[in-house]
Amino acid sequence: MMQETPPKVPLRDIFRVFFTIGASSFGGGVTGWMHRITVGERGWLTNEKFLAGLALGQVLPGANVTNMAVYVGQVLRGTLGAGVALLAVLMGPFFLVIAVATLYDTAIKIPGFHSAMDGIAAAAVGMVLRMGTMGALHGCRKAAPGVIAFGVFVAIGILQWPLAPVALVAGPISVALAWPRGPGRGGLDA
Amino acid sequence: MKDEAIWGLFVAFSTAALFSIGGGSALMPEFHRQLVEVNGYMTSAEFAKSVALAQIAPGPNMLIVSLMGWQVAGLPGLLVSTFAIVVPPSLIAYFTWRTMERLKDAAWLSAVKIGLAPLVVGLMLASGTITARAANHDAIGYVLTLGTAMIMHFSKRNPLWMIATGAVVGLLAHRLGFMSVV
Repeated sequence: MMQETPPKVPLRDIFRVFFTIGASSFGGGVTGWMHRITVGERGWLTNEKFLAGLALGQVLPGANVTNMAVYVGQVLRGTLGAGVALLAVLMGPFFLVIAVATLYDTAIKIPGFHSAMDGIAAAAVGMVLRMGTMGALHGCRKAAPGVIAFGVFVAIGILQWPLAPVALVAGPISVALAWPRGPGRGGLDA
Repeated sequence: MKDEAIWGLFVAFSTAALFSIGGGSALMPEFHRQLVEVNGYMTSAEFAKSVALAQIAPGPNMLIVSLMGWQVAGLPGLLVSTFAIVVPPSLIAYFTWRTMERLKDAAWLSAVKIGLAPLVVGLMLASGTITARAANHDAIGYVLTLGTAMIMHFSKRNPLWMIATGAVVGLLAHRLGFMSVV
């Protein structure tokens, strides 16, 4: 499994690199950064190896960042590496979240803070909404994915059905529609 | 009540984690359903505040559950929630990679990826609507939400600008009496 891996990467280095990635990750794009550091700067694994992991990491449940930390850590140093990378990538954000939560309880007493948070909440929702419309514009131009996306939106967003049954029904249907049909043909024909 | 809530958080988040394709944002409707509607651990307004806080804080947006756990049950809630959202999917990822390393180039993988994309899109849109209803109580809120979405769509500006603008608009609107305080 590790035949192409050059000399052992010290666990300390894995920790340091993933801690930095985690602590400075902001919003999205973290996987891109992880790629630049682990593949480009450090040369820990080849481009192909990283992308192969990413392909699976995006499909599996869990955040891409944590999945990729587990993957890269495992490629480098097996189980121990996976554990160290996962712990490191979460440590920074975890303490920042505690700091934010603690400060929030204090800050809520400052006059005006509450109203500012109301405004921030409204703007934050806009950012979530925009991610959805961007995805819809890029990925759901064809009929079948468009119908699936709309169906999931109505079931979860309007009817407020639970996630698990909706995902268990819509997921397999959508994957079946995307299944490559016959040799040399792939993707969606609908 | 406290112990019950901690167990409830664990069940809610670890279940959601198993379906967490597309990251934390896609899970917002499920979090809202579990925490606000089913269990009544927090109000819709408190939920909206956690979402806002998570947007300001760095890190994978999955850690929004740490904030929610904190709001519901303090430090134990935070620890349990973080564990529930991080560990089960990481274990799945770990064992999948160990056992299926050779399958990584298989055609089914790209079919699964293409197939899951519309699901994620639908979930994101649902997240937007659910959190919009939780966060906004009047027209100003909705104007701010839609305005942010539009500006984010047409400009490449750092999202922090929108957060800052939201804060200023919120302050002004309250001061001038346009926006109701919850």
